[in-house]
Amino acid sequence: MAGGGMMRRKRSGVAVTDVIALILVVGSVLAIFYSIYYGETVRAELMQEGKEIYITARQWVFQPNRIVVKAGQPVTLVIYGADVLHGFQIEKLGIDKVVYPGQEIRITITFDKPGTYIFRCSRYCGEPYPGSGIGHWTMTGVIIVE
Amino acid sequence: MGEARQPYKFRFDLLTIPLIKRIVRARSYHFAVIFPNFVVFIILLVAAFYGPPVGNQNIAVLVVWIIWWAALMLVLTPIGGRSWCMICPMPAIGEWLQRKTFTRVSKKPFGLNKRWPRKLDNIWLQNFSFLIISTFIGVLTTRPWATGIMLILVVVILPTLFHLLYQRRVWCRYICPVSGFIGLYSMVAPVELRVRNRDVCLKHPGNECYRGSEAGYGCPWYEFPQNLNRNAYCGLCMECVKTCPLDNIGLFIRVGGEDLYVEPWHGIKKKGLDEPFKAFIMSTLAIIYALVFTGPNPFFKDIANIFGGNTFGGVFTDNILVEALNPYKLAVYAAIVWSSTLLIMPAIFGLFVVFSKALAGWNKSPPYKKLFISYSYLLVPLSLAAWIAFALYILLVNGSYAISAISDPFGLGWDLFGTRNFPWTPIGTPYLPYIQAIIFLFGLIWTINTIKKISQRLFERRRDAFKASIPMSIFALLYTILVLIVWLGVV
Repeated sequence: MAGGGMMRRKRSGVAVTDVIALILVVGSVLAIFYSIYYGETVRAELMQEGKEIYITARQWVFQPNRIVVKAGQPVTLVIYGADVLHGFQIEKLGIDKVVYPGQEIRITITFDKPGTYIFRCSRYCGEPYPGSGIGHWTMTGVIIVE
Repeated sequence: MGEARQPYKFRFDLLTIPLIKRIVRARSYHFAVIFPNFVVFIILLVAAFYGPPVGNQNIAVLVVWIIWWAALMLVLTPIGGRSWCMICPMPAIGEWLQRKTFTRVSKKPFGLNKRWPRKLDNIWLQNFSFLIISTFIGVLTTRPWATGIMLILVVVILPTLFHLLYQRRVWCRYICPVSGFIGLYSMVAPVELRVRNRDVCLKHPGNECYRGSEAGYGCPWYEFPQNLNRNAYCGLCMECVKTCPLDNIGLFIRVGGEDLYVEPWHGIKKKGLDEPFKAFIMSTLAIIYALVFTGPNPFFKDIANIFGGNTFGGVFTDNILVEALNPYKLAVYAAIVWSSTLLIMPAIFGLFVVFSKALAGWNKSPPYKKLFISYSYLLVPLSLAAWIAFALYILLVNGSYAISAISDPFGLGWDLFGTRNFPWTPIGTPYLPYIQAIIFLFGLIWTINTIKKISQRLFERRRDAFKASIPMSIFALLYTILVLIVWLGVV
């Protein structure tokens, strides 16, 4: 037999390399999904504790753009401007702040009632090309108050 | 046709290096090279749906359409041939299921194990699958969810389905949207897998490389290594290196080669129109992609964005990028893509072939179809230069987006590599037009040399060959002028 066919096997006939490969494939998939779960959990804990929530504003997205908070607890949003001038507006609450490039602003809010609060960029920050459907107009996000 | 001769200026067999030979002959080799990409794919797939919703911040869009595409056009294909196919995760899930193992050799495959229809032994399906992707390219490159759906289709659902229905890697060989052009451009790569001595194969009745043996599988790409004389459909999976009992397979670095000029399988197979049309598709789309993605071309940018930007505001409050399809834009852009690649470019090219045949002497020339097919391979170096220019642009101008996105692939506020706030930094833009102009010029010279070689094989008399090559050289020159206008706005 030409080289490469010789495989160390378990008694059941399953190759050791196959077992290792299966562990790698399943393990990596689980690790990726767990990392997201872990990240979400950490973020939720920070939000529940009323700690700071870091948001990056950049063309043409807020990262993260979906935030979940508890009603009645103060939350501090720390918004960093990564590229050009942006705005941070929550119309329902009458909040409208300028986010300068390379600087961060802090907004502490206490949401009294559960509900959905849309935030958006309130300073024109450009778009890839006219009428593209993407750009400043789609730079928005949502705060879900539970 | 000088089928048997393979003139190389330089050729070296990498498998004469014991370490390389030992590595590629290991049964775990293929899994080892695919697995890292498989992990990257899972990350991209999740990020496409879970990460930032805007294309220029989403790692799935950035890696697939900038990093991977540039790597494919700049390095992997022109230098590595089908090296991407060797490490590609697309067939992974289906192949693991079909073989019922990751690393071993199983005798009975899982699935229906059907034969691929003989009528479809060509790359027409790959031509159409790439055109379908190109029809939606304006959406795919800007909407992560669209890239996510595409990844699910072309990396999970479709390849797995075809692996379970058919034998071997029919997905890679006949359907995959990128396999067609990788095969086309791999023919000019300085890497080739070939038998070391064809006479040894012809005297050996075993055919283990095609049928498989205990050491490995028969060629998953339906190639018969003893007949390999072009890179087009060798996926570099290295199964034949494992199965050959005569140690007669080599992996060569080469300067030279005749992939563009010879009939497949030393003339056992004949070239059809499928590869020429792949060349028409690629050469035309190199221009359309440039119009859509670069420069001030609002019509093309607008029409390629087939979702029109009409959002369902207030309905999908969590995803405001869920948009309305614009059937008018879809129809116009699809008409542009499909008619320019399948009708207009072939018609213009065909006209130049008429001039070529007429100039060389209508009755003295080979049949029109033979000229048409043979000369179409001049588009390989010509369009490759256009794609290299495109890839350089997207990498240098937009590649830096990936540096920030990689630190927070899922939009969870992470800063994995400390680059989360890395700004958009275009690189080398003052010099890019000059570099592109040099690439186009190099492509033109390479193409004219290719035309000369094709003509010398088509015509017995050098004078006829020279005359026939004039219209085709003019075609190459006009194409180069066109890409110069599109890219640089100058003649």
